[in-house]
Amino acid sequence: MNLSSSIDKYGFLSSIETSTETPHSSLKLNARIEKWLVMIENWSYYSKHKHNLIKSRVRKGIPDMLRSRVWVLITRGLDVKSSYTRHLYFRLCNQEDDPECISIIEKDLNRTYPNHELFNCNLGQDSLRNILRAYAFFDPEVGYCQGMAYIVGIIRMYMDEESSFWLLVAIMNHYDMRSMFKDGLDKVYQCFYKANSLLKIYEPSIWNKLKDINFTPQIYSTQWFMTIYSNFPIETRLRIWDCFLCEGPKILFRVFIGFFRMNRKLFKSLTFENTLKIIRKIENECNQDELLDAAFSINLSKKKLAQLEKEYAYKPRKEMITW
Amino acid sequence: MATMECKIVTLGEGRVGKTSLALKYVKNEFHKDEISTVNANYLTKLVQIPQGSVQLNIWDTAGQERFRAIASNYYRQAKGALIVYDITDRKSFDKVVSWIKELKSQAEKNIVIVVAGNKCDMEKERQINRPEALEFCRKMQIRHFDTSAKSGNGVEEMFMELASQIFEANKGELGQSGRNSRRGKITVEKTKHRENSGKKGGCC
Repeated sequence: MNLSSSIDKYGFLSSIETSTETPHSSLKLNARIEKWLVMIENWSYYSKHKHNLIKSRVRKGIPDMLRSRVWVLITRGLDVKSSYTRHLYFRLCNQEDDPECISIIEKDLNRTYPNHELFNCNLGQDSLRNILRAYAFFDPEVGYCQGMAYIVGIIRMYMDEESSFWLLVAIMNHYDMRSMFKDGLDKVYQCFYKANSLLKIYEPSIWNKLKDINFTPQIYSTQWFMTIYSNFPIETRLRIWDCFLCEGPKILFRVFIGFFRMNRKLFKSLTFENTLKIIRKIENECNQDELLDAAFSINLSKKKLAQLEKEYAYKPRKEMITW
Repeated sequence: MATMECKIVTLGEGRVGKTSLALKYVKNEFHKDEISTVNANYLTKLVQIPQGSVQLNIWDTAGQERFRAIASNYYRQAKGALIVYDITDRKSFDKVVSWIKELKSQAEKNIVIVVAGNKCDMEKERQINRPEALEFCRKMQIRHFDTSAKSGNGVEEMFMELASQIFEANKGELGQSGRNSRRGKITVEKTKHRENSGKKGGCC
């Protein structure tokens, strides 16, 4: 049996043949890789003086073979690691007692990307356990929260265990993902609030229809925000991750609006019953270029997001969407 | 004949089989490695009971304690709740108590609750004493079902029971659809007279 024919280039078991690249596209890809290699070699120069160039190239997608290196660079993953004592990951892994949340971690191990070649066997699952367990010791306030395994899973597809741990630490600290997972899930509610307010501004007709059927973001978008769109098709998901790691959480909202904008005509006549089906269907088929083009066509300022955060902070009942 | 439309939620500790039970019932599917739920899922099924028909709109949510606040948004306006525990996991049974308490104080007054002891195909690894579970539910006046999302055992019966109890609890509201909230709404529509309302059993 030819196993490779049923596993796509990202390691997912798949029944669909991935499209073969044309000579033209592979030439183009090679040229892009060349450019990226120059940038990587001179990273400190580029990150200091050519930040906009990095940003625009990341928006086009980091070539997959360079992804692991670039992710570590743009998140300053190595700086994070060296800011802690040496061999910390090793010591965390060798703690004897288990953290309290170990039973919750255990329950998620074989149901995180079970259709990926790494995670449908012990090797990947053991690795997931080690990283999540170590993180629970490292950051007891967060411990483990469902959703984190999806994040670690994506990172681990691209790098070894210890590097994955440090990239997780970088993501949790630099992009305020900690408060997404901390007890109370405060940030998740803040995301719902911001998303809803932005939809009203950018796609008022869709917003109105969702309002009519009382269809709030928390019904459909918990996983989008908590796991950085990890339930989207792998290529789309990785493109979102590239931009998230480079530009920060703002991308979460660009994608949110872009998602509705690119599918405007599908949101014409909505009932409470069909809306979730429509959303899940678009999610499964979401084309990376269309989604990111839509996301970046939106003129969204940091100021606007900050203003919404302020509004949210003064809301008396934070978990409720007020239409 | 009247169709009652109602919202039900699945509650319970992580990995007890909430998603699997809903999937088995609605689509007759079982996936050994069902992925862990972060997003809410929504499944719907029309059930015929002797008294009429009930459309169950099933909301399936994440199980971890930390998601409780989000879950409360789902059980608001719910007419029914399915609390699931795993018979091979003691802790998951302990959680049933706290869910019942929470529903009784926070959810709609006449919410119908049923409890499922799931994974009963793994009898050998059972940690929950069956008479103990039954006694507990009897005291709470809640129906208990032994279920297996894998084999399908008990699944149909449980949802049927939930549907008929919900119908009984809410039949007074039939015909007053105008003032009901959107998600918990009850509508009356004309359907073919299939059964006499007094007939017992024999439903699918």
